[in-house]
Amino acid sequence: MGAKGASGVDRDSQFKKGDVIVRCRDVRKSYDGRPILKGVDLEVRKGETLVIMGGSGHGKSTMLRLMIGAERPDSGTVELFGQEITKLSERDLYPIKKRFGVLFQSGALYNSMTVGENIALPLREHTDLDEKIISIIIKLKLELVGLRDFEHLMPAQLSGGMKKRVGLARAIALDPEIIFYDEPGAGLDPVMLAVIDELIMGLGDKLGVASIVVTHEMQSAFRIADRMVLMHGGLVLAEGSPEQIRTTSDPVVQQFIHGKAEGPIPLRLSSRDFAEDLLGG
Amino acid sequence: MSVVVALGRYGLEIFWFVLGCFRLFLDFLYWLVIGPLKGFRLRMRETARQAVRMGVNSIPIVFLVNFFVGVTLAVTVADILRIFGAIEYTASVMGVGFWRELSPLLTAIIMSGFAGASLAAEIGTMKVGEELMALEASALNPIRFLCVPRLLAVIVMVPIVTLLGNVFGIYGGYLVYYAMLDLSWAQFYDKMLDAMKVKDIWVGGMKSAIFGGIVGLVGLAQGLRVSGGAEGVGRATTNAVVYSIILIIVADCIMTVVIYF
Repeated sequence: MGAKGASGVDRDSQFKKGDVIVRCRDVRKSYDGRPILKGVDLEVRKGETLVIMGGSGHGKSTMLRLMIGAERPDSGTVELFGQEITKLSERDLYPIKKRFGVLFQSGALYNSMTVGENIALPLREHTDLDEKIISIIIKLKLELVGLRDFEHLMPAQLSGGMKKRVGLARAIALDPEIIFYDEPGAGLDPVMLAVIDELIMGLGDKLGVASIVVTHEMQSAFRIADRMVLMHGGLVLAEGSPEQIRTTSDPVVQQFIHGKAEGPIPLRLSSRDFAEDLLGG
Repeated sequence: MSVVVALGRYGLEIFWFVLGCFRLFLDFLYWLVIGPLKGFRLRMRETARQAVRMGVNSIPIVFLVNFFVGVTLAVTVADILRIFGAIEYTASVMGVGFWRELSPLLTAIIMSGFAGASLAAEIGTMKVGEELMALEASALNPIRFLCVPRLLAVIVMVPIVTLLGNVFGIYGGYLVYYAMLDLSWAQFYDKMLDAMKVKDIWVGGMKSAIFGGIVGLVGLAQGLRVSGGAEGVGRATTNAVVYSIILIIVADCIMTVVIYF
């Protein structure tokens, strides 16, 4: 208990590979009376990569924000490392937040700091590591994402894909036990996407990191997932191994994973009849 | 009737906004006073950087505005005082006017454009770019991390810049005095001090610190509540300036009436 991780953040080692470290139960959330999540159950185990798929507006990103403690559900529970977080005060959440990393959709780099400072920030703020060691960690993390020479550049000088890779380097700065990825594939070229996928899988296999990936990229999703969840209409519609998802007969799942325009998922979100609307009825 | 409704709605909006600013101020006090006791250290280097950014860079504009207002005021006042044969009292008006009222007000209004708008734009852009969420996700409170250094910097810098504004404005007035009466700086200075009380100096200082607080709080609060992309940032920037100016002038009126009436 209380052993120090590689970066000096306190953590207990009670979790072994295969233990549940994220557990959501009956999570509900509405915005302005519009229900987005209607009772979602999710579990993620240590060392596992869970891919959350689903159309835009079906609650994936909301789910992610609830799991990282950025928002609170209307009802239901979210447990990280066996601890219920939805009722915790902001300060009690801090020790938990230091144990996970988040890669945001745009990378969300701090634009006023260099690439190196971005990665150093969590280390400087949450550990008492020596500057020399911090500079070594920065190089290690940047090497992992293939950007070691870019330490002194500003985020504005990087391309979208590079920002994302730096964002990943920053997310793993404190050697987290869980990493959340919000659309890691969006805006990356296929080669870079494969590199990021390798990284995600490597972190899971070698370090026992649990990864929760929200994505639209089907190819990448099937490549990295140990388990997949398809969210539809604020609920978990299907859950299982990539093979189970691929072979399921559910027409919604089939339409989604094959990206077909025709199928049970409605394209049109308006409730009024088209002809009626045109005629001003 | 609809004008009344619109005014009422606007007033209510400002009221809620001021309440939000007040909450932000309480948060600020928490992270300034209690936070450091609990091991969340103040970011002093960042505060200094912000002080330079917002304070030092605004000095040229503060100089221009205060100097020209000083010249204008001196000419206007001298014209009237001449009728009473009391033209040398221009110095008194300059001293009291600038220390008590003009420099704190002018400087604060300049700073609302200079510092307040840039705070709103900066924090708003960070919010839109998920930077604030990223800070929170890495267990860093955005109020402590971003707002405290910036607000502290404005509250310290506005009085300092106001002091410089006094010097510039009064110097502008002296140039007029010199041109009209050919009197020395020492004579001007004596006349100015004759009319001033110590109270005028601390009231001016206190006012400018409060104005600094208003500029900072309004800018930060506008930035923090940005939503909806670039358009939202633009709106927040405009609102930061408009709300600061309104609140500064209202606060100035209240303080002046309470202290001097």
